[in-house]
Amino acid sequence: MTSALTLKELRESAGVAALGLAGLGLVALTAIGFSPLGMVISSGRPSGTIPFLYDSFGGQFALAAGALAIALGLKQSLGDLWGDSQLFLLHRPVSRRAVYLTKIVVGLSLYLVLAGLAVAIYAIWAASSGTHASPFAWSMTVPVWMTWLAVGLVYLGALLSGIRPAAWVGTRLMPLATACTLATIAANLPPVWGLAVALVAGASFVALILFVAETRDFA
Amino acid sequence: MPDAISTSGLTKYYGQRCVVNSLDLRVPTGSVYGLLGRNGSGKSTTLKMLLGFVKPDRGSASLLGEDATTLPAATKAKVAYIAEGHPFIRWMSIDEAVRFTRSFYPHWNGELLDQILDHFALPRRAKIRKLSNGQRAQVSLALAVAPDPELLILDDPTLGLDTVVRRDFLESLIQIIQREGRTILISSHILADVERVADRIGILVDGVLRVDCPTDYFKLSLRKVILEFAAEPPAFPACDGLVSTWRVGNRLEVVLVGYGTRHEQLIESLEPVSVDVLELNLEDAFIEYTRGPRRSLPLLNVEARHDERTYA
Amino acid sequence: MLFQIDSASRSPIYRQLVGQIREAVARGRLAPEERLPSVRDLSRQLVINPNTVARVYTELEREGVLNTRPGLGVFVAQPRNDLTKKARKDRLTALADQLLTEAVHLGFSAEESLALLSERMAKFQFPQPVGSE
Repeated sequence: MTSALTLKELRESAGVAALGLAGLGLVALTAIGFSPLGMVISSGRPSGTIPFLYDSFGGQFALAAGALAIALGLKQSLGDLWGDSQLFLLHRPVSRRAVYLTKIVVGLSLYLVLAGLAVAIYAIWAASSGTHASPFAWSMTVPVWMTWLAVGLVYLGALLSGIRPAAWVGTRLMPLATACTLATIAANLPPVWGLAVALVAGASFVALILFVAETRDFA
Repeated sequence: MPDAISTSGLTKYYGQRCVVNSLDLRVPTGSVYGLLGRNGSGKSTTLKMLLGFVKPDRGSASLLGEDATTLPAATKAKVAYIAEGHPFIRWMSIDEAVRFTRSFYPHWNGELLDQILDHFALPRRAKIRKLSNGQRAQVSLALAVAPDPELLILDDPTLGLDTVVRRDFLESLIQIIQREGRTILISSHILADVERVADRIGILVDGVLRVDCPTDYFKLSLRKVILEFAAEPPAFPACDGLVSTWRVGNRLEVVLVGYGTRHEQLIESLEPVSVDVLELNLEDAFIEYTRGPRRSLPLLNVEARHDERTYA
Repeated sequence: MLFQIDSASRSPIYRQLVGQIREAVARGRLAPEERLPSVRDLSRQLVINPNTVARVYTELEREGVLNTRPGLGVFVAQPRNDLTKKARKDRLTALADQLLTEAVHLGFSAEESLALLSERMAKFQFPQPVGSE
């Protein structure tokens, strides 16, 4: 039954995941200098940049990863709600907790793997000798990895926003806004503190998601 | 044997509006109960409260002996629920839906499921969103009965289906009823269908269960009395069982429930020129009961068939 | 199929069926010793709750129209005469009076009424004359 739920979530998120992968891939490739768009507009890496230390990858990555995180979170929450399958799905003999925990595991894993892939590709390229003329140390990638982790909070915030029953759009989006704020804070703190904030916030979001799932009405 | 379903003072408000009002419903094990009511009378909300999808504001409900708000998974496995519109995970094919659903249940009657799907020639590879309403209804029923449930709760299962498909669905339902000890709660608009399958009916009017009795009893106990007078008809005195009155010219039309000698005496005392006492078929009876001014509707709650009285 | 349910009727389903089976027996469409469909089969044919069919069979058995043979099924009973001759005559007389009152009010003459009765009688299967009691 867990595998049935897992497969369902994977299958339903496949479309969003593919788009996310494309977007993230574009960001990574642009940073590396192989942008397909770049062939037309400009080619080669932007001059005067240093991979990970002084370039626009961090910002672009944050946007692309954020978009993926939000899309995944909303798809998993609103997808069932708007598609009217809630009354079918949640009547199965399985706790709501299990259903939503599975969603979280699948969604978060998808995000971490896909976004992580983009960072890893860029980092490995930067670490290989002969690819660029700037210095490189693995410690330079830490800020981006922090961003990677922090944007995971945005996924959880989007998921919570999706299932939280609220009349007005403003209050509905509060969890997402909060998550974005917390993610920004975590990404800009020194790594250890940032990690702590991310983990605590993440755990809180998960607890909240499960709480809302278990207590709300599904009419 | 305890009731399959029982509620006590079940109440739900949506904003200021009381959608389900202090409902006391009992569905005995092994019976078929038809819940009737107009749109917006609270049928769907009641069913959702029974299944734990909606939390009541007051009161309680129990399903197979368990509190409805905290149904354990093992109990859910014994209860089949078909929500309005036969919801599914639409992107799945019939086969995928079968495999998905099956993974949740310890018991699975694959034979019965195949029987139903084959009987209606439903193509296994077809995507559910491509099926017609009628086909979806059949798949819905097949998936509902495959786990061998003790209790089936169907929310308007034939809504929007054409005549032939409705009959198909009913036939499948009759087959399902055959099994001993299985309880069915079916809410519907289609009175003729309910009359065929239900042992008992209940009528919800604005969230209140106004009628709760054996099916044939309802028809038998309602009468429409048409009184003609020489001049302006008098107002019909308030009495037990008065459902509605209607004055047209010199004519007074009165609908009474639990029609008996005291009603006859009351009528005689008004000294009409002529009296016509008509029985009503189920549809007319239902309309009379649910159309009129709401507040003062009499309650008709009858336990068992042996309470039947003879009528004039 | 011998029986039909009229959903628009004012009569409850079980009563319709009781009436139809009785009439079928009276008209000879169902012969004595003939087997009726099982509760299961009839409920499927008519698409009604099997409890209703069971109830109909039980009531007709109580009246003596049908009888159940365990393991074999439900059969049409041999006609029996439980009531005394006088009681039966009284019952029929009351019904006859009702019919004739109606005939007079509707404006039929005696000859017309008799002709109509004979016409209808031809459609029914009357038992052999009862021996003296």
